[in-house]
Amino acid sequence: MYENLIKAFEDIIKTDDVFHSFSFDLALNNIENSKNNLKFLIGVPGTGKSFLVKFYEKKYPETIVLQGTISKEELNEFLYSDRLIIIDEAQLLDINTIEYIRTLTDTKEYSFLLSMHSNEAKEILNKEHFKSRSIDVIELQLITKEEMIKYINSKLLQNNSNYLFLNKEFNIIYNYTNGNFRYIKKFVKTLFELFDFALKNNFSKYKKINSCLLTMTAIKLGLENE
Amino acid sequence: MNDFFELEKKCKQIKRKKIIKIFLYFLGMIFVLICGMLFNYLNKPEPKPKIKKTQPQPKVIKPIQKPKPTKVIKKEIKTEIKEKTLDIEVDLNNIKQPIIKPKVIKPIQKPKPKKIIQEETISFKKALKLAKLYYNNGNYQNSIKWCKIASKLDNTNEKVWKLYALNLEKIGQKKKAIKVIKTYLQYRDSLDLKYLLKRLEK
Repeated sequence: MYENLIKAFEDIIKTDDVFHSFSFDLALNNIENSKNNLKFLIGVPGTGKSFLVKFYEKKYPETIVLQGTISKEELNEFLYSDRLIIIDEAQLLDINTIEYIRTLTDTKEYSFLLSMHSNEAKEILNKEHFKSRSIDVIELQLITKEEMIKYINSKLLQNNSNYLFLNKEFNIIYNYTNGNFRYIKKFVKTLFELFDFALKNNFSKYKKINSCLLTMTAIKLGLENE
Repeated sequence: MNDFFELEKKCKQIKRKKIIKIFLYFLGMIFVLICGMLFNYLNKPEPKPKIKKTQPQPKVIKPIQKPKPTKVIKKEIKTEIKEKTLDIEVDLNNIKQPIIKPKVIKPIQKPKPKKIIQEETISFKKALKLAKLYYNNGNYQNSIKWCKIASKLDNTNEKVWKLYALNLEKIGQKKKAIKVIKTYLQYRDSLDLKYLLKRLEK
């Protein structure tokens, strides 16, 4: 019954289906307009860093996107002075590679964007040789409740859903997910999975989404302290 | 969705826990409230028994700071009258000895201890009666004093004002007496006082 909605909220990166939150647009704009050779894209897991990287790659195909598992030697093969090199999950890079990237950007010939988790990025940025340099740090923030409502409603409407959440349900979802984009998608997907199962099995208690179903979803995702 | 029932069970447990938490919270609140009330009740100071003083009254008249509010006159009028009475009290310090009537039969300087009544507990009627008695006996100072006490209890009563004016007349403060009557007539009407005013103005 709700298979299409379950699919719609799957955590898959689809660059043709973008939700423009304020934070997303601001980060994108900063990347586009930054003249610094070394940029950091930071944010807590689930804020959409990888999505932003993919989206940027699609928008600017000349961009080189690499993964954080790349070694120093492998990196040398992708060095092009006129193209932006993005390294996703850069927290996985070893210290030597990061140092190497720093020295490369110092020559003003190469531009790098390192996308990584906030905590790791802060650790790197606190080091003396990074502190003394001008680096652009672009942070992706968690989305607001209003943005979450807009996102879920737009998804529901896109899939011609006859179900719309109530405000109090949105409040519960936001309280559990704290505006984390990944959690929101997972939460709604799991919620519809449980709801779908209840409807298919004719559980009279779950004719519509209720607080129990929301709590069950939170338990399943480990967001509720038992 | 094999875990649906397990999740449902956990959900119920969580809900039960939440209800217990709320219940305990309210229970705690009620307990604190009861403890507070009990503490207040136990620490409440016992009312002091009223003891009537048997000592003779001091001669010095206490200045009336806050006269009690009356039932009849509106708030504004009350305050005005109170202020007026206060003005009069200040002037009373300069009260002269009686000039006209030297006929003093029994000057009651110190009334017998048994008959002395506390100013604080005296009723309006008694205060007025004492004022009259002192007036009849020619002790105008004491009469004025009791007039003041009576006015403290009811400053709308024309009898007090009349007696007060008469006392002032007797001690030679005719102008003051006229002023007192006029003050009263500003707020209330009284034939008696009008006649007295006419007589004093002649």
